[in-house]
Amino acid sequence: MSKRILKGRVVNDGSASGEAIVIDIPFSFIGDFDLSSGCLSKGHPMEGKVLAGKILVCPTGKGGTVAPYIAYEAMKKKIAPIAILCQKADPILALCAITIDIPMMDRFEGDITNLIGTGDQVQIYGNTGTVIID
Amino acid sequence: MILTKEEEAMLAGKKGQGIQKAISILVKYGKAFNAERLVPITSSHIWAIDPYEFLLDITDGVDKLGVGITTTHPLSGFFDMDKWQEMGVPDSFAKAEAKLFNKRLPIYKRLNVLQTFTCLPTLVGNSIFKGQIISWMGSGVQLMANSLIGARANREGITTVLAAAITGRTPYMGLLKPQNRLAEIIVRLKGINITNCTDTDLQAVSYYIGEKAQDKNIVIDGLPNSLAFESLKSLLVPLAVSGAVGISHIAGVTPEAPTTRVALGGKKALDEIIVGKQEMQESYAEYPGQDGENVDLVVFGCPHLTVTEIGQVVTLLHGRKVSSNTRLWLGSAEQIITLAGRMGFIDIIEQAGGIFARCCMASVPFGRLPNGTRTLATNSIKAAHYISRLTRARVIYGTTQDCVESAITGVWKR
Repeated sequence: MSKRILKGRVVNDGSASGEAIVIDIPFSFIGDFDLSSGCLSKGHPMEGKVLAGKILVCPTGKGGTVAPYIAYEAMKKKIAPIAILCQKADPILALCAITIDIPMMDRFEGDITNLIGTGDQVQIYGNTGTVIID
Repeated sequence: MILTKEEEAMLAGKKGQGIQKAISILVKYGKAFNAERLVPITSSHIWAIDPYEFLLDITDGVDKLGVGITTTHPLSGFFDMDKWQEMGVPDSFAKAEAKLFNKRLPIYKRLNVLQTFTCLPTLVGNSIFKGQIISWMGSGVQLMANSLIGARANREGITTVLAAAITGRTPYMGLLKPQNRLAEIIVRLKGINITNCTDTDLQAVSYYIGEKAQDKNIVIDGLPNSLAFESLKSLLVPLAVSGAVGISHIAGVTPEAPTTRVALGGKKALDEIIVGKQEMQESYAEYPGQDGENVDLVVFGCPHLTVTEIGQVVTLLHGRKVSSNTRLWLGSAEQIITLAGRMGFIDIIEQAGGIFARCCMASVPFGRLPNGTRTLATNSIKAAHYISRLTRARVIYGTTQDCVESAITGVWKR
């Protein structure tokens, strides 16, 4: 498939490139993320799938106010996602990205969780608000 | 975003590196949600469990906080500095927590942070009033501040509240703006006589509403204005557990909502949620107990118990003994436990075999239960929600009376 270019809004600046993991329900670092493994946690529909080092794609965030703590600990352990792309940034998920300073973008034309598939190679350029899918 | 000269100086690093880091988080966060400016806050309530390196960075060169009062949330899941051994919390976990706590403590002391360690800051000296802008952590306290007092709090995370305490500012957005506080959804109870409900019934009602309302502002119509604080707390806190509600007007109680019409700003509600007995039972049914199953641990105090709630447990437990196979924990603030001691409540609970703890009783964001804890009973649906997801234990949600009985017999029965 040829390269596709998407435009979105920059929530937290920066560039990243890597493999996408797409979760089609709202995500929270507290409850959905296993800090001992860097994977999606027990009870999640995608339990066991790796988030560490991936570009997280999800509709939005949700839930608990201590999530930035988990994100920070994940970063320290080098098992955090390297960027977040979502349809609509919620305050807590945005704060996670800002706290650990990974690129985050939202508000794409169309549903980002359909535009990108798990395993796609994705490049994010915060300075131009551009996402390139190989 | 428009910044004042002083804020520009902070951002340029002229007031030190810690303040620079703090304000840069707030500015980035504000920009992401189209805030035009920062506004001063009158009160802050922070976590005292911040990641150590993060805490060190953000307080670098900071000698004084930018806000008059800062209180602290409870320590993390089941770790009470003085009680963990008695509680049976595993050594390896508690010792690591103690080490971290002692590393962080001098920083909080230097900044004159009040070591309240409770999720009920208004009951222990953090007084707030209608219209005041505050930056507090904890989904439950944010919701209670907005809905019971009319102070203005956003649903926000641990890093912005710390940054706000340091700079004395927060981005002007969301529920801080009067126009964003109006109710969007109307909630009505049908076939439920609120005055006959236990506080666990009210939590079950609230848990159902939260799941339906998600992150919308709501107004609950048709309640008497005579409900006690404990009942109001029960009616509010689960809304931010199953959902992400930031403000729930209770018509006739919430200062901004003398009536449902005012709460809605004179507009028509977007939607209506009707709650009846069946919906209430659905919440109980998510955490069911089976007759005759063993109960290893009974947990009270999520949110922390008021002295009235401690008194209720005392009445049920007086002169009886907790089963030798079961542990009973009661979580509250140190200041409230002191009052309970003055009332003679501590003696009664401790003679029965119960233990007072001052930590978070919901396991958030992680906690270690005593080895061998397979089944746990609680009268808090918030604790049931989080403990069942964050630990391996099976969790039963039931009334205070059923929970106390299971602590005494060691067996669930209702």
